[in-house]
Amino acid sequence: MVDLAQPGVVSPPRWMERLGRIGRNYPPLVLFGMVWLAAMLFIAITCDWISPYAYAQIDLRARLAPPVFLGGSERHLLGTDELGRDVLARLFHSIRMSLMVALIGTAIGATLGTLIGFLAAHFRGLVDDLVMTLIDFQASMPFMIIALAVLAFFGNDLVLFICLMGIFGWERYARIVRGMTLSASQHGYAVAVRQLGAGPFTIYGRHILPNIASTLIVNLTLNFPEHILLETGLSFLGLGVQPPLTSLGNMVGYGRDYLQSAWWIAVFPGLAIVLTTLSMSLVGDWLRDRLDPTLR
Amino acid sequence: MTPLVEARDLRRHFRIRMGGALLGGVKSLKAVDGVSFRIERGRTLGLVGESGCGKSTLARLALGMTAPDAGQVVFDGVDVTRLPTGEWRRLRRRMQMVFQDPLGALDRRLTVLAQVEEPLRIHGLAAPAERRERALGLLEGVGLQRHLGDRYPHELSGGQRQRVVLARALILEPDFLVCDEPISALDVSIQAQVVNLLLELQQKFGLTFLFISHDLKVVRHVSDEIAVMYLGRIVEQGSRERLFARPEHPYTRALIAAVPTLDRERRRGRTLLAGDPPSPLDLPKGCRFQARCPLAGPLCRHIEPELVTLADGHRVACHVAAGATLERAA
Repeated sequence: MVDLAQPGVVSPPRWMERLGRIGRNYPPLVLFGMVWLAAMLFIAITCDWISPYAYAQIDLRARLAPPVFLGGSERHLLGTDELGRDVLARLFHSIRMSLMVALIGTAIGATLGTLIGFLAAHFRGLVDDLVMTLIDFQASMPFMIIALAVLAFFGNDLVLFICLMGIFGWERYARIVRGMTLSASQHGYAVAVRQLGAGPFTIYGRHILPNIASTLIVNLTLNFPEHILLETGLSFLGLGVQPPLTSLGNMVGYGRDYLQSAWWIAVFPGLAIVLTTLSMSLVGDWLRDRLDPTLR
Repeated sequence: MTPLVEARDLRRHFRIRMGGALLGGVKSLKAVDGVSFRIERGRTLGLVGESGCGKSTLARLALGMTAPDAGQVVFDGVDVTRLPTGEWRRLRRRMQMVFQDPLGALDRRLTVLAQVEEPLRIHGLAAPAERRERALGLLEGVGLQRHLGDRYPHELSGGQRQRVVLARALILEPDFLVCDEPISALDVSIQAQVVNLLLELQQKFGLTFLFISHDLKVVRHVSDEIAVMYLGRIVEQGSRERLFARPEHPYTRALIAAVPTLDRERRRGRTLLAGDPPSPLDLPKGCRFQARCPLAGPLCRHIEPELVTLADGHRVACHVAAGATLERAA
């Protein structure tokens, strides 16, 4: 016979149980992603106060100083660049700039694409054909080339740059939303709500959008890192954010020349890019599962 | 007494592309091909027919959800088939539909309560607190406990879901309810419950029903009048008693004979239908039923029978049945 209440076994204390539950609900990688994104957000918001220096402040006597853990001075924790500007301060401001550009760009792209997708699915016919043609046009041209052309032609301006980022990726949202709306319209719930007398705003906003949101969120989490990468790519090529303003790509681009002698100029922003895009994907994937009540 | 709902010569044809995607021709599928009926206020018209005969299309036509190619549906003096969108939406307060697949008809991302009170929200009736109270009250009215209101559709059983769909349709207190196979997706054990609930609610709210089913037993149980549909047309229509006691159309006879019975005498004499109905894309000349009809004569192969009214008000579309009965009457 097995004695169920074995004297030696003590049930784990309550705090451990609670910790275990948190661990199940929030896998470590997701937790890391959330913490990282929160930190990035915190830096982006407070960077004016937490930066040790202004991002363009030059310290010519300490040019190309190494980070503190490689024997550099404590005045510049992550070292300095070729003009003696503090890498940490520049990194903070770059994170703010890159996040802002990617966030606004993604928001514009997602809203625009969703709206256009709904329009195409609602009106069908000529509007649908027009939208699909536009989508095919956009999808068949490498966006980098369009961006290069526009920026070279109209000159570089931060507002124009952000608007341009907004146009990137809308066609995928439009295509997803159109397709899913068309199929959802034939589905029971959309038909049912329509015959209750609901107008298009109720049908699309309250019923179809939440039902296709999980797909959109996945697309969003794929799209947001792409925006960061596009921004960094363009800035790396010298067409994105212009100095004296700074962004992650811009830092990597200008740091490239010193990669052999002062790698820290390019590696820290590069690391920030990788970790941010990775975190975004992890959290997005997890979020999709959480948002679906049938999977809970 | 003027009927609450009257359909006049409804037609709905679908264009179907045949053969190859590029070179195929277009054929016309006559889903509903000249259907007329009237339903008096507070009564139930049962509509029977095998699957694919156009029952569901007729349901959508009756509610004005699909525009007919010809004919009209008059609801309380208003032609619902050609209403502008806004007025059509307002009319939803008076005519509602119960669907075959309750899980599909509910939004899986909203709680049951939110969906039951949604019609009130859509039509801007009642304040939020009152809406909630009315929705909860109605959930109880259809036999669901209040706490189930916080559940999501997938957390309920099939019967409970259909009750939710019913509650949602009834919260606007409509006059006319179209039930499109409301119980065919349910367990047999639940079917009776839902049917009885429907009848109970009809009494309570004075509802007028168009009740669609392929199950003759159920239709017999709920209907005052029954119409039998075959390939887009009504082939026989009459009061429940008359239709079951003395069916005229060979198709109706076969349907009634096919209802399972323990009576050996009846089983021996029954006619069973062989084969499938002809494709609605390729209707034969003459009577639609001739290929499966045991009584078909030369007349049936050339001239399509019209729906004629017999001396006792019963209506049938069959040369043989109508002729025989008329002779007897004379």
